[in-house]
Order: sequence, then structure tokens, then C-alpha cells
Amino acid sequence: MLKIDNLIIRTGDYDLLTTQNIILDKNESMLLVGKNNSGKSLFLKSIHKKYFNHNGNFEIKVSTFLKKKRKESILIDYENNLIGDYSIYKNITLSLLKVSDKTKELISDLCSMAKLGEIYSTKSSELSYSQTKMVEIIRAFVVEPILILIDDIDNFFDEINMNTFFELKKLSKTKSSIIATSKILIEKFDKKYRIQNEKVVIL
Amino acid sequence: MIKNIFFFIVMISIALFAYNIFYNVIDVKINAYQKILDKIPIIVVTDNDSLLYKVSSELDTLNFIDKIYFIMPDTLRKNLIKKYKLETANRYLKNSYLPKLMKIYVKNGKFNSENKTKIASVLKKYKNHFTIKYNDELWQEINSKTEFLKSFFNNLSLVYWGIITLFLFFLKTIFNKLNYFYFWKSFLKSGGNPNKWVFSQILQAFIISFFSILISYFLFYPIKIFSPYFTPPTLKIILYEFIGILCVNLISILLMKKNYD
Repeated sequence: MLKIDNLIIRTGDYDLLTTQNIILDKNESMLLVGKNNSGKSLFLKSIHKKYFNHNGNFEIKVSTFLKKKRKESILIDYENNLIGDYSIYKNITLSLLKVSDKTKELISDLCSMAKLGEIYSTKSSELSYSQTKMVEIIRAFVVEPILILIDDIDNFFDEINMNTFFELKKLSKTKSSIIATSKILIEKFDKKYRIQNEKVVIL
Repeated sequence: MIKNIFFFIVMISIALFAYNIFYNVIDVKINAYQKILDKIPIIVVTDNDSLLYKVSSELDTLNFIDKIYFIMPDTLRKNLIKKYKLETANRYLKNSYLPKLMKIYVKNGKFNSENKTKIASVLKKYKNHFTIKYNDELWQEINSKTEFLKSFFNNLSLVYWGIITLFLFFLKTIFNKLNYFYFWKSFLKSGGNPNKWVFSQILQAFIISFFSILISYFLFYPIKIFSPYFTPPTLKIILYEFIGILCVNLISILLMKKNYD
């Protein structure tokens, strides 16, 4: 669960983006719509704890027992974060030291749904941009952090792939909450916000 | 991962086995030289009985002294008669004066410069009462040969362990088709825990070190059938090698991580 309380993202001394109160439960998805340079990416980076020029509070909450086991957040952005010489499967299981049969089955099902099943052992350097992003998303569903942060999701997927993304989310039965940013509105997200006059407002 | 571990166990076992064979060859050579020295005693000649026993008791405190023999004039006379067939001159020899001898033997492989100096410092105190007979030139010659072999082995060992470290690192890189910069970037971005990764690598390093030492040790037994001179490494050497291989593995893990940090 994510709880944001009056978070102000700054660039230098300038207040770029103000967020009032946002609460995101487990398995919920949230979309933040905004134009270029509106502070969407910095908002995600702040939550990902890679950007620190901000005031206010946000809290990533999970029960104490699970917190030890789960990664706080995974950020999927424009960068290609796959190893080119590794197969799709090897890239998905990169951070897993042990892969159980159940996980293998889940990966196989998710890849089939994303139409990656037939090229399961293909090197990731041979994939298209949207396919690499699909692999990164499957990997995030498998690792299951508390938060999955996706920057500019509309750049990755067309309408069909966007539907696949939501089907993958459903199939994975992930407990992760998802925060995505976009320049356009995508209706399928549970909660939708827009950046308006440097403020995050609910839609 | 199991294929990976198995591959490294085989590679390191072969490298260690070659190292042990090389160590054996050098050791056999050094032992052969030292055996020449072991057979040649330091001979102290004197006519002062009490001083001889006093020196002997002082030398006994040195733990590298193997044995000390005394040869009294009567025994010396008999030995001379026997060796040079002087039976006819026995009557003259009986009346002639002969000194007392003390033969000092050093333990196998312990007659190095340091121990030689220790013996010399004991004998030096009484040098006015003694005549010391020893082939010092031969000792110098053999000592310089053994010292050369030892330093040759030590220098080569340093080069060997250096090569093994780089070899392991590059082999891991090639074997895993990895560019470590991209590996770490992708690993961390995919939600990987670096501490868990390091722990799993250390665990792998332990497994690889343990089994490669074990295999390289047992490889000596079939070799022994063909050449009895070769002996498996001692527990001390095994321990050193285990620590060495473990350190090499750990250094290669650090190199991997350093490439990204």
C-alpha cells in the first residue's frame, strides 16, 4: 500500500508538482496523466527513492513479515533493462536465485499471453521495443514488488498491447500496486489523476 | 547454475592438479639436494672431553639437530685400521695420540642458512678448543641451488595465482556471456537484491573451492601407481590451496561488482 501526504516535487528551488493525499491499496492501479516536463517522471523517481529534491511524506506500507521479503519498487522507464545475450526466460528470472515450478509455470503462462511463448528462448536483443517492455513488465509481476512504477506507459504499448498488459496483471494475480504515467488517458486503470496547474487532481 | 558450478569445479581441479604436480617436481628436486647435505655431518675435533659434552648438550636444545655421535680415540683407531688396512701398524698406532670426534647430523631438509648460523654460534664460543671440519663449499653450492628453486617456485606461484584470478574472472564473463555493467544494471532494475547475490556467489565459491580441492587431491592416487615419487599434498598445503582458491573466487566476485560500482 502507498500513502502520499502532501508531496511536493521540486527542481532546484522551484515547486514543480504538488500532490495532496493519495492512497493506493495492494493490487490497485493508478494512472497519472500529464504533459511533457510536468514532473511525472520525477514523481515516480521520488517514490522509487532515486530523486530526493522533494518535501512532504510518502509511505510504502506492507505487513512487517512481507516487507522483509519483497522489494519496495521496480521502475520501468524508457531504458532497456534486459541483457541482450540472455533469453527472455533468463532475463525474467535474472534476480531470482531460485525458480520454483510454480514460478516457471506462471512465467510460461504470462509469456504465452503476451505472445512471447513461441520466442521464449530468443535473445532479448532480437525483440522489438514493446516486446522488451512486455518482458520487463512480466519480470516485475513475477518478482512482485510492493510497487510497480511505469513511466510513459503510452510510449510502450498500443491499444492491443495495453489490453494485454491488464490481462497479464489479472493472470499474475499480483499483489503489487501499479503507478503508471502517461500523456493520454487510459480508462482501464483503477484510479486516474491528472496534473493540472502543477497539482495532481483526481479525474 | 549447476552446469556453471560443475564447469568451474572441473577447470579449477585441473589447474590445481597441475600446480600440485609442479610443486611435487620442485619438492623432489629440493629433497634430493638436501639429502646430500644430510649425509655430511659437521665434525668437531678436540681432546677436551668435558667441553665436548657441554657443547653436545647445548646443541641438543636445537630442535633441528637429528643426532650427535661421539667417536672416542679407540674407536677412531679401529676405524682407521679397518679403512686403510693398517693391521701391521697397529702397535705404533696404539701408542700414538688420537683426538676425540663429535659428528653432528641435522634433520632432513633443515640445514638452511638460519640453522647453520645457530650451530655456528654455539661452536664459535669454544672455537679456541676445537677444530671444525666441514665442506662449506659444497653446502654453499647446494644451499644456493635449493634457495633458487624455492624462490623460483614462490615467484611462479604468485604469477600462477594471479593468472588463475584473471582466468576465473574472464572465464565467468565469457561463460555467462556477461558484460558486468549491463548485468548489474539489469539485475538491480529487475528487483534483484545485491546482498543475496553476493551471498549466493560466496556460497558457490565455497562449493567450487571445496570440491575442486577434493578432486585435485584424489587425482594423485592414480598418478601414484605410475610414479611413486609423487605424493598427494599435505593437509597444510590443502588448507593453503583452499584459502587460495576461495580468495581467488572472492576477488573475482569483487571484480564483477566493482565493474559496476
